[in-house]
Amino acid sequence: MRYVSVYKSSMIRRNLTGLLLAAVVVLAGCASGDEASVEQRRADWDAKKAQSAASEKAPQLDAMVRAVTAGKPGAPADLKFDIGARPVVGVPLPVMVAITATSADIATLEVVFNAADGLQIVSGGNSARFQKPKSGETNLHTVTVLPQRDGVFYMSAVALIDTVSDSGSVARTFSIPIIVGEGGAAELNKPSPSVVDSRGERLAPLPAEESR
Amino acid sequence: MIEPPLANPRGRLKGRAFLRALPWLVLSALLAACGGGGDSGASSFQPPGGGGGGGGGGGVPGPVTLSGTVTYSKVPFSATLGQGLNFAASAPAPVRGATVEIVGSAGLSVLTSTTTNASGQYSVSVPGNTEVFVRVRAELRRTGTPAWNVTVRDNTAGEALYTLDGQSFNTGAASLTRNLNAPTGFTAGSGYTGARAAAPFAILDAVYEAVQLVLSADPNTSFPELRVQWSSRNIPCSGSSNPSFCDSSAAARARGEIGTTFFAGTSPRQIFVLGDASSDTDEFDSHVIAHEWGHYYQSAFSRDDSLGGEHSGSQRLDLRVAFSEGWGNAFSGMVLRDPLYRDSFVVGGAQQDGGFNVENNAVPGTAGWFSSASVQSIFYDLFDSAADGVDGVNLGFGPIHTVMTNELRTTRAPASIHPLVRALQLRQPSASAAIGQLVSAQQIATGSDDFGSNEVNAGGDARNVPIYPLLNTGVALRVCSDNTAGAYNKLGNRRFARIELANTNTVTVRADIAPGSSVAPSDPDLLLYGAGVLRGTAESLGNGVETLTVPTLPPGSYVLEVYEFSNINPGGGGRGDTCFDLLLTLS
Repeated sequence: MRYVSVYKSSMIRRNLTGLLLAAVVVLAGCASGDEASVEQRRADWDAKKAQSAASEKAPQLDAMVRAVTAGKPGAPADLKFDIGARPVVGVPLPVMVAITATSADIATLEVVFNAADGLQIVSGGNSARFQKPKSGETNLHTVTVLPQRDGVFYMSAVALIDTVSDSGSVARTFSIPIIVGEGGAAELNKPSPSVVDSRGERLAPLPAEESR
Repeated sequence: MIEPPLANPRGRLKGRAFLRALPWLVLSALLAACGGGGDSGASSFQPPGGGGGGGGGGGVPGPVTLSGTVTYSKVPFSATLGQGLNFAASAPAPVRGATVEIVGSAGLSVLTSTTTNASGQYSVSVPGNTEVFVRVRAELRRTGTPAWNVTVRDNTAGEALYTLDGQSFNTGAASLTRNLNAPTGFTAGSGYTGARAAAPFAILDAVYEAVQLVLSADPNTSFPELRVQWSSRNIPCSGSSNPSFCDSSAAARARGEIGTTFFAGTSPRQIFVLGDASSDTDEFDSHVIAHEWGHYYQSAFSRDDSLGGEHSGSQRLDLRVAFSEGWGNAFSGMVLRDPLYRDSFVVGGAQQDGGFNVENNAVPGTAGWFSSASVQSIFYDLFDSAADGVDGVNLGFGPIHTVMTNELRTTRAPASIHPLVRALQLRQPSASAAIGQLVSAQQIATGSDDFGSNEVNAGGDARNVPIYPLLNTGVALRVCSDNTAGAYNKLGNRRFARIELANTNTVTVRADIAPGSSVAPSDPDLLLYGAGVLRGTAESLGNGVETLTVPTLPPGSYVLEVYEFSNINPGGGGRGDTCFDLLLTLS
C-alpha cells in the first residue's frame, strides 16, 4: 500500500514533477551551457530553500553532514527513478531514470538495465550510454516494462564507468522495485521469517548440510 | 509482530526417554542460565557423577562426546578479472570462532555450547541417549581479555540472528560425529534455489580475519559490539519520487532498502551488507566486508572525521573522506593479504566484478592528499613486504596500528594523511626516508606538521593550499567554496581555516559573502572542530552572512570549516564558486 498510496498524493506528485523538471533543467543547462539555465537552477534552489523554515535546516544538515555512513567504493554516478503510473498487470509502465555523473574523470558512462522475472522490458532498450558526461550532469532515460503478474519485482540498473585516467573500475548498482497489485505492496512490507527460541531470542535458522 | 516460540519441529521425548533425560535438561537449563560459552576451547560442561564414555542403559545415561567440523561453502572470484564470482569453484571453508550450541530437541533448551577452533572443529560432552541437534550461531563471541562480540543478523526480520541448524538425532551411548556445512543455495543454470546459508558465515569469516590482524598487533584488544546486517532482500538503491524509498530510515532498512554496503557508527556499531541476487551481493566479496570493518576499526580504536557519501578513487575528495576510504581499501588488502580489491555484481543475470589494486603506485593525474587512491597506495606500501616502485618500506601492521590508535586519534588536525605520515616518520626514524619517498611519489608533501603546512599540491585549484590558512583576529581571510570536483564531499566544497588560541576565549567568526562573488543570495555555513570534535556550528539560512560564536574554548588549535550550502547539496543545483570573507574576534 505504501507505494500505491504515493501516487494518490498531490504533494508527492509536485515533488515528482519538480524532480523531473530539475533534471530536465540540469540536462538542458549542461547541453547548451546556457547561463539562463544555470540561473534557473539557482532560482530553483533558492525557491526550495525559501520554502524551508529555519528550523528545518538543522535536521537536514544532520542527515547530510553528521549521519555519516561510509559505503563501499562505487562508480561515480547516481541514479534516481520515477515510476510514471500505478503498476498494473499487462499495462506498459514507463520508468523514468535520472542518471547523474559525479566525477569529471568519466570517459564513458553506461547504465545497463535488466528486468527480473515478472517484468519484461518492452521499450527503452537494455542500456543507456553517455560519452564524457560532465560532473553533475544529469541525463534522463526512460525504460518501459510490462508487469506480468502481481508481486514485488526488481529492475536492476548497473552503472559502468570507463575513467579518463584509467584508475581502476568499479560499478554502482541500483535496484528499482516495481510493486504490482495489492499483494505486491503487502509482500514488500512483510518481515522476513524468523523464530523466537526458548530464551526469547529471535533467530533466523538456516538448514545445514550434515554428515557423520 | 512477535512470532510465538518455536514449536518443537524435531520430535518430542516421550515417556521413559523423557524421564531419563529430565535431570540433564534441568542441569542444562541451569548452565544455560549461567551464560555458557564465551571463551574458546571445549565446553566446561561436565555431567554429575563422572562416568565418562559409554553409558546409556537404565537410569541416568552417561555422557558421550559429540564432535565435528563446521564449514561453509566459500565462493571464490573467477581467475579472470571482471568475471565475478565462480560458483562452480565453491569449496568448504572452516567456520572459525563461531558459537556452537547443542540444543535439546525436547524443550529446545541449550544443553551446552562451545566455540569452533581455527579449523572449524568443535567437541563437547553431551548427555547420552538424548534427542538433540547442533546449532551454529553466526556469532563470534569472547569475554575476558581479549574480547569481542560480533553477530550476523537479518535486518529484514527484526534483527534475527542467523543460525545454521542440523537435524535432530539421538546421542546414544557412544562418541559420535556431526559435521555441518552451510551451502550457498546456488544451483548452476538456475541461480539461487535454496536457502543462502553460506552467506552469514562468509561474512563472519571476513570479520574473523580482520579481528586476527588487530590481535596480531595487540593481543589484548577489547572489540566493542558489532552487528552485521545481511539479508537477501538488501538492495542497492539511491532515491525515487517516493520520499520514503531508500531514505536511510530504520523503516527503509527493515525493508532491505539499504542503498549499498556500508558501516554505520550507531550504538552498537553496524555494517549493512547487500544481498540482492539480481543486482549485487557482497557476502562473498571479502574485500568489501573488510573495507567496512576498517571503518569499524576507525570508529572503535582510531578516529574517522569522514563526511561519508559517494566516492571513488578517480575523484578529488575532501581530504577527510580520501583518508578514510583509502584506509578502508588498504586495510582490506592487509586483512586478506591480497592487494586486489574485487567487488562482484550482476549484469543481465551474469556475474561481473570491478575493482582496483591498492598496490598500484601510480594514480595518473589525480594523486595527492585528496585522493583515496593515493592514501590506499601509501598505506599498503607501508604494510607489505613487496618492493615495488619506490616502495622500500615493510612495517607490517603493528606500527600502523600504533599510530592509528595514538597520534591519529588525538591530532588537532583532521584525521588525514599528513598527521599519519608525520607520526610514522617520528616513530620509525630508520624508515623515515623510505616513507618520505612513498609519500612524495603520491605528490604529497613530507616533513610537514599535522596540518600539512608545506603542502604545495593544490589539486587543480591554487586556493586549495594552504589547506588550513591561519585566521588571525582583526584580519579578514578570504576562502572560496566551489563544486568543480562534484558536490557534498569533494575537494573544494568545504574550505578550512585554522584558529590558534593561546588562552581560553569566546570565539566569534563572521562570514560575509565577498564583494562580487557569484550571485547573491548565498548561504555560508560555519563549523568549528577541535581534534575532530565538533565544538560549534552556525547553519542558519542567512543571506550571504553567517556568524558563529563558541564560548570558553580552551587554548589550542582549532579548524574552522566553511562552505556554501548549495555546494554540498548532493542533489545538485550548487551555486559554484562562492567566496567569503572571514573575520575572527576573541573575547
